[in-house]
Amino acid sequence: MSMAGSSRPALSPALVEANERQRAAADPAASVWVAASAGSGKTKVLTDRLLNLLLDGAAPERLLCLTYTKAAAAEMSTRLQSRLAAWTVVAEPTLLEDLAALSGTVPPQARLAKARRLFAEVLDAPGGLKIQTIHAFAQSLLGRFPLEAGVPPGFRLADDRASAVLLAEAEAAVLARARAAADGTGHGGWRRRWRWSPRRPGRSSSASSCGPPSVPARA
Amino acid sequence: MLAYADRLEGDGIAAPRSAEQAARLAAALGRLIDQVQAEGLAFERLADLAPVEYAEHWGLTLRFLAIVTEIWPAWLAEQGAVDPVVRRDALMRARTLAWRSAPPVDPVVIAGSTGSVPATAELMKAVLDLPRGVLILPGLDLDSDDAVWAAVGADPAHPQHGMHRLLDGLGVARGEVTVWPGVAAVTASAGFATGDQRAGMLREAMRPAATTEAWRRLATAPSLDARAFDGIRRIEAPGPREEAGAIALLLREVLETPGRTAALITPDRGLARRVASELERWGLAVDDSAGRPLAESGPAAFLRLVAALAAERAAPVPLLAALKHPLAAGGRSPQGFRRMVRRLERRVLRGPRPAPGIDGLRRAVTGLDDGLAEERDGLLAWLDDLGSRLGPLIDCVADPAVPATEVATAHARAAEALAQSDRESGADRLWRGDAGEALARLFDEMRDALDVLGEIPGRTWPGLFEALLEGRAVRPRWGTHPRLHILGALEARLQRFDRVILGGLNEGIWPAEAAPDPWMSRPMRRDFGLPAPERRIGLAAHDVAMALGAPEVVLTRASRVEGTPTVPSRWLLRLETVARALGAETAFRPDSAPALWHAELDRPEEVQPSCRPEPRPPVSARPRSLSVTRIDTWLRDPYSIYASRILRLRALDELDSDPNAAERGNAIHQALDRFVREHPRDLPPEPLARLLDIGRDSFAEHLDRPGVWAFWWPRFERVAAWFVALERDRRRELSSTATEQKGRLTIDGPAGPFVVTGIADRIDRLGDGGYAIIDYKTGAYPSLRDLRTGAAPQLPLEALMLSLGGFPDLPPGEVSSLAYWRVGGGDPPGCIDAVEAGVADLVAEAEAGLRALVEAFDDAGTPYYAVPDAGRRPRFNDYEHLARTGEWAAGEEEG
Repeated sequence: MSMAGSSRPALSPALVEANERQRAAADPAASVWVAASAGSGKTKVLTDRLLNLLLDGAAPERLLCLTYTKAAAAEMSTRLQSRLAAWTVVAEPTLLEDLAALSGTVPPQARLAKARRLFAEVLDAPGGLKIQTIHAFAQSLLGRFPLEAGVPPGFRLADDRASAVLLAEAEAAVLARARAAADGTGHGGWRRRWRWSPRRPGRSSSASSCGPPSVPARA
Repeated sequence: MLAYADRLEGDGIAAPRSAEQAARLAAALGRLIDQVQAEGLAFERLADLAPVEYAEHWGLTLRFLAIVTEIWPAWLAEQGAVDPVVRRDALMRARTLAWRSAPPVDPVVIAGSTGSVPATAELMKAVLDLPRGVLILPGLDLDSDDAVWAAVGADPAHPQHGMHRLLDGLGVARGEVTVWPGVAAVTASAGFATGDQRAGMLREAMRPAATTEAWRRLATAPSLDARAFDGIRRIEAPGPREEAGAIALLLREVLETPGRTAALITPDRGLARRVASELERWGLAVDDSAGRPLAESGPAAFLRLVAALAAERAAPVPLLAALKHPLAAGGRSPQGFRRMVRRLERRVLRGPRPAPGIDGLRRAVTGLDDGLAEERDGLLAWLDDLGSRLGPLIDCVADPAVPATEVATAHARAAEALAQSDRESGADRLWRGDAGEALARLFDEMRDALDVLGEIPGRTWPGLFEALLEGRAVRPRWGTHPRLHILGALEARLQRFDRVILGGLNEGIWPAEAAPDPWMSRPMRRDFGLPAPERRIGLAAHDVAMALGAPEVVLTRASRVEGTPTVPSRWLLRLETVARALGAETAFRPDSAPALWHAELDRPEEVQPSCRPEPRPPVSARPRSLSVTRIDTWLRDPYSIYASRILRLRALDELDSDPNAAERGNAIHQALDRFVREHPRDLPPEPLARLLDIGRDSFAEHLDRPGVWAFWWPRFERVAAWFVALERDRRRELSSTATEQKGRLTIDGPAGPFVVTGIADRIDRLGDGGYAIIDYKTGAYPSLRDLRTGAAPQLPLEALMLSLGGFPDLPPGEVSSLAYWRVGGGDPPGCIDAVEAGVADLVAEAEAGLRALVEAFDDAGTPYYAVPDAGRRPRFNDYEHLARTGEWAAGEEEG
């Protein structure tokens, strides 16, 4: 999508415009919001932007990319690395083309040399070029400020099972406290507020409503 | 360190809230102290580190660190003790001093050290100055050009960076280092003809980033070509399991040639464990010499389970987990003990949770009322014995403030008491083996540390124990296999193997994820003088580069771990790029063969799906009587009848089960029944209050549980209100009412009489002489439609019984109404689903159906199919797995 060789058939105006817009979005001088449908090249725009930043001399360890899923983070990382690996070994004319497509202008020789070195620079960046999920980023922040966050350094995230156990314990504690309070005042009046019965999916709840049955009624 | 938590709190820092958190924080602090002391730095310099604008935030950390690093040296001085790192360094410096002042004339050799610890480097320098001192350096690159060597000095992640620093520190130029004589001969004899190419290729692959434009020129390099990748293979497995399988196969393959050796080198202990267990398939026992976590060893697991048991006051699941551990024997033979445990489980623990503690279990056992007094007494005696062994610990843990040393001792004693068998003492069984000894040492160490802790709430002990176990490993003392090895990166140094497998080459595993420093930012660390985290990566790179020198190397990784795609290790990516530059892409392409072979190992010749079961027991074995509720099951799923009545298999209750909807239904039933039974004619003066009283009795055993009290009881209150209002109106038209009536009915079948029994919840005699049969239901099942279409034969069959005089206390008569009274307590709290017309037809249909059923099944050829009609499957089926429904029911529609 980013080729513009003279020996190739001319691109349609729509494609040319799309290329221009992608190039504009990948220009690190501007803050950009991109909305596009699936498969239209958003990840490519992101990668291009990263590459432009790196080529302009930004230190890789000072770049942070946040994604929503671990799969997206891994994919971006892999794509970036394969682009950079290609630049290291590919012949000069191809590299020139690629860089020209990125920035829209013919790159100077220094930029070419920089492009060759980028692969290893990114690999060796102290702390690495961070492409991570928002959760992972938040976790690393908590790990770096244990005293402020009140979280000891070696903490682990609770998985679903642990969360379910904690939730059940909390529920039992709340009900027990409520009961103690009700017994104290001698009134069950507050209980009229409990008209709803929480339905927990996948569990034969001790509070299922008179709705779809969950257990045979014994006659 | 743990004890100063309150002082921290006073300072306004979020102090560790429990001993367990404090232990973890202490461990992190300990690591910091070790690092700082190893580099010979002083904590006083901390104050200058942060620029003014960050001073407040840094001040918080400073206060924390200063508190600990002022108090800690003071405490050490008090105890007359010294930090382990300080001691180690002092010893080495003392040795250095001794040698400088009185140099020994005998040869002194230091071999294989990279001098990463500053004190060691000083010692090495001293050895150099000795008259016959020799330093043998591992893996120093003598052949790279000077420009690259200079760049290496600035790149801590480079494998040669450590060597560069060492040489700088020793004041030795690279050119002055010679090759140890005999190395060339060894490499040649190991069949390593391409040795030069391999070393050259590695040098290229590990180039410092600043010089990597040179990769462009590789295509025309004179001394390197695709043959540099001879002997190197790559495996990309879809997941850790497949990776381990492929590695195990490759290790096993080596054994086919006599005399060959192989090793798996990996920092991923999980992978090591998997490979070790895969190798067991061929009866090969290969120990992981890097050790495994102490917390997962047998004795440690036993101790943890005993602690959990005490913390939960012998709740069913933790109790069984501890008692079923192989080490548990309670003074008997392990088999005898296990028998008693199973008996306890079957009789007492399946079902709702008994009261807490051993006392609660005793009460539950005495409450068993089904004969077998001997068994009950045996259980009680056994429980008493158990109580004497575990009781002290349970009490200790329940204590809100108990000295930590006391809990620890009680813990060890309880575990020993439980581990005692009829032949050996508990101490012998528990502290045995590498793991047991490591544990015993831990307890010794703990004793002093816990003294300082003073009193803790007993229930925090299990968590604290886990925190103290963390990070400790048990290393096996003897290597078990002579030719196969599983090693960590450190142990693999300087060892030779014919085939080396580097496993787990994913970024984050190898090189390891650099955990964010909890105390200082990177620039701060640099200013303070601490080494950059990249230096560890450089050391790991050196290990990998050394391992890559073996004659045959296999590089493996898993492309997905736990569903997430992984990123390949940077060294793999470098090798890949160099392969591309040299035109060796095909040589370095991942080899899928070993993983495929491993998958083939477990593939059966053909897969035979199981088909629907069709048992045809002889007629003499078939049941001659059933209750009306089981007739319903007989229709929908005959296999259940087969399994429960002929095979006599009954599903066990869940352990520690919550009271479920069935028990709620029972309680409501009982309450309503009792009310009607006690007041068959006239209602009492305060009917609602009376019903609620009866309800409280009926719910009594469940009302302890907060969930029941909060959700079930209000429902019952609503049901009671509705019921009382209904009864007021209804009583005017009734002549009598009867509850819990037992009835029977005999059908003549081809093989003899067939008896149908039933218990009707309630039968009302109406003013016009007709009967109404009522069934209380707390759910929506069966529906009115089921009743009308004959899919729920229970009520019609009871009506049949009634019309034939099957109920002894009731004169035979016509039934004019069949009703379900739904008393779930929801919204509305109660409703009546009744069939009042066409009852006679329903009854006739039910009778005909019953006769047909009996006739069909009295034929020995009729099978007991499992769920013959998927649209009418029973609501609950205990025997679905027995019938393997999942295997043959595929494709049938849900009802």
